[in-house]
Amino acid sequence: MLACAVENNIPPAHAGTTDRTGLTWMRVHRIEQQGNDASTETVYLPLMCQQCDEHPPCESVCPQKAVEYDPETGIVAQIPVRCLGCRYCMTACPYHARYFNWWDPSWPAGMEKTLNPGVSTRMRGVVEKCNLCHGRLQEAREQAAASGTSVVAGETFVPACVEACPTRAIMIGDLADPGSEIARQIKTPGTFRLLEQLGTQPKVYYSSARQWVREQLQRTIASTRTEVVNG
Amino acid sequence: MNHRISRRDLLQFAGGSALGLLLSPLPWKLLDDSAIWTQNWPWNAEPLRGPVSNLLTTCSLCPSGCGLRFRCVSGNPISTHGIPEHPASHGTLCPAGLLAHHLRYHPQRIGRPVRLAAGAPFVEATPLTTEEAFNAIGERLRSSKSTVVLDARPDRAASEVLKQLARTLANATYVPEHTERDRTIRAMASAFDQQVEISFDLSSVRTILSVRAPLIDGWHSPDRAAAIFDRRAGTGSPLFIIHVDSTPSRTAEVADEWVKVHPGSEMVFVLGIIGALLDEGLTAPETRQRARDFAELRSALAPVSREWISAQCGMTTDKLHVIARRLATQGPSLALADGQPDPNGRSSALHAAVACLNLLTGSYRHRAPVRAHRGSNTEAAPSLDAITDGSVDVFLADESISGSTSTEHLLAQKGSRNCLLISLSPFVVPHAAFEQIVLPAPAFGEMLTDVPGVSDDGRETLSVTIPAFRSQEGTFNTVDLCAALLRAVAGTADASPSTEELIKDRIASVLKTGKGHVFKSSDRTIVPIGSLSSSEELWTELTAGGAWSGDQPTRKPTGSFRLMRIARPALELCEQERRDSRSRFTHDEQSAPPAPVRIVDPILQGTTVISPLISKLREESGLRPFHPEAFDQASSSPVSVKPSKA
Repeated sequence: MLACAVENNIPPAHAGTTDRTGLTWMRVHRIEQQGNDASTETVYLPLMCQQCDEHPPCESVCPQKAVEYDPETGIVAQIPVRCLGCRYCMTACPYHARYFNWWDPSWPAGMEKTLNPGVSTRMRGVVEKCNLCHGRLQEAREQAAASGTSVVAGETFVPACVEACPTRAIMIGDLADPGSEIARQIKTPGTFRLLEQLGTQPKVYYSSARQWVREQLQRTIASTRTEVVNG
Repeated sequence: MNHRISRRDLLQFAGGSALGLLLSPLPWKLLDDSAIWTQNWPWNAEPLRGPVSNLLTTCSLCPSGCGLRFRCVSGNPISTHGIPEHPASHGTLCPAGLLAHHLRYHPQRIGRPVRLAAGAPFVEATPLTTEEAFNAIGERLRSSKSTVVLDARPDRAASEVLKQLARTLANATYVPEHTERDRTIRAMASAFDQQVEISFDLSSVRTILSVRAPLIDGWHSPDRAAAIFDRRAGTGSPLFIIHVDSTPSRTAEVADEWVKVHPGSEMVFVLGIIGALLDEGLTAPETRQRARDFAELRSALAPVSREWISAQCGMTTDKLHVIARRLATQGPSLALADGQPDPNGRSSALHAAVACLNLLTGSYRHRAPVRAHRGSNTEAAPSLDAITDGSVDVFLADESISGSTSTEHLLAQKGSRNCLLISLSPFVVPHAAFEQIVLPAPAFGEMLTDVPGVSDDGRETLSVTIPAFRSQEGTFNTVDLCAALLRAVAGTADASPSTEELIKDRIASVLKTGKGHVFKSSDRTIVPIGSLSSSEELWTELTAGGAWSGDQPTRKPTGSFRLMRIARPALELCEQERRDSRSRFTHDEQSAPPAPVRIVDPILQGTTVISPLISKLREESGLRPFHPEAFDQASSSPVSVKPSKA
């Protein structure tokens, strides 16, 4: 979450922010299961835009064409300057992975010098979401072009969350390449997608050896613990 | 023809125009443009533009010495990344390190000396001129009957200057602040009859008993947490973690077993495990042979009834025996402890009890997780525990690296009624119930410092943090402060060596040993130190994000030891608790909830001031800390600075 915020110029929480009004392109949820012996099992679920395939629900409801599906990469892009802030897409998204910017971006004095010049600051009044570090992808494409190819090498494009995760719990790769590590990984037992039954064909896969985690997450994500601060 | 325009015509024209305008895109475009204009106020922050570069260095926020790569725009760091090949961190960073480049701009940053009146954490700070601050400090130091010079990061090159200051000032004592990890290590080392140094090797452990140690949260090193996760994910040898804590934490959640004990009863719990090991004869055979007072420990523990212990901890005696059996049979096992030092000595007793438990389970044996190696010839520095309560008139705390002291609870106990706390820190962090003068220090990334450490396998390490920013005007580093204080108090104006000279001396002595290897960040290779021709070359490597690590020390036969030497403080405290009819553990947890304990969240170990961006975790995610007051202290700005009268 922090690496994502640094990379994408997401400001510190505004005074009065709650977990319903905050801006976190990636949000980590705590999921618990009460055992028979009063013990509790806990897992953490990083939830970002699931990059639904072909016809994402958010794209079809957007009156402004502010959501664009890129058939080449499969990434669902969000174009903030086109967004009028109607929030239909937030309603349509079954993963609650979209966030409305309620406030103008502000940083403590001087900290604006640490903003990433490759990414714009987050404007108020629009809906945003994870774009798989679009700035980094562009950089990788430019590197590829400079070396005379249009194919982005895997090691040159690593989203901020993947780079920062100290336990290497997040991976990225080319699902379309059957020989890739990620294509092999998604075929291993225990790998699943969230709300697969909706037919959104998300391109984010999760893996857990625990059956209760798979069952709970495939059924619903509404059972994650929700804490509301200040209402 | 009458061409007079009637009022009706005018109204019809106006109405038609308004309707026509509404049907045209013009008003909607204006509305949209004005909305976009208000969404992009000219005063909204814009990123810096300029050439992009990378700066390799080392994180000095804690002693782990993780490798850092600053991505800079026009020489200004805009993000922090790990260095995958770095031997100390393997590319991992903790949240504090990931946001290290923000610290310079933290709202609690000060640029001039301030005075804080004694009182609550939410206090007003009065700015002072440098002259006023040194006059006030000099006066208090001259009249002080007992001064303690606290070093929040001992073993740095600059620590020598602090020791020198303590020797020069009248009635002054140098006291290093050791980490919680060091406290268990020191307790265990003190049991042996010969001088040994101890280190923990977690890679060989099969069962860990973590008594409040934030193991999963890094336990002072994110790389260590990553290694533990790897093993738990099945990519290494199996590891079973039992976490003992009265309150929830991330480690408690992720551990294989969370043993929930009554608040404050952790030390009694460890004694209960020791008792169970003795009762069932599960102690390591070597320990029975080599401990010179095994029988004495047994008889000392005999009067403490197991029922009393289980009542204090809030669990059955059987449960204690089950845990003891696992530690004895599913070895190698290791017990670790953590927790803020407290005024009643419970923390010291806990570390002592844990050290004793480790000796009883044989964790010091060959191939076991506790490594005993070469004896230390260094003079043992006094600990804060040994200072008489209420006797200290002045605390001089060098918090320039850590940002804050970790022994706040002890300061309140040891300080006299009119005690003055002088802190050298980049931030205003109100401490205890005394008056405080804070002298501004350079923030992380503004100063040069060395980062000495010890790896898990006992290797000594050394790396160097270089300034990535120009230091703010009016700040003091440790060496400057000591020189200024000596001038103010003793009137001496000796030319003391600079920080750079001190670090270069240390580097020269490392090179002279000819031992160990150097990680060169330029080509990400590790070379023997012998391949470097001069100390200048080693300096160049270390200031470019490199790291030196010494040879792995060979295990040393530890000979005999005395268990009672370390177990006594825990047993005495236990006896005291038993005698005290108003023991705090006898309450029922439901009817009398424990008093809130102010602790620093495990994720922030080693630093108490981190970027305000941490509010993303505090406010907006399921990672909300279990002790939000720690985050309030860490990321908010509770101090307002009065406008200067000048």
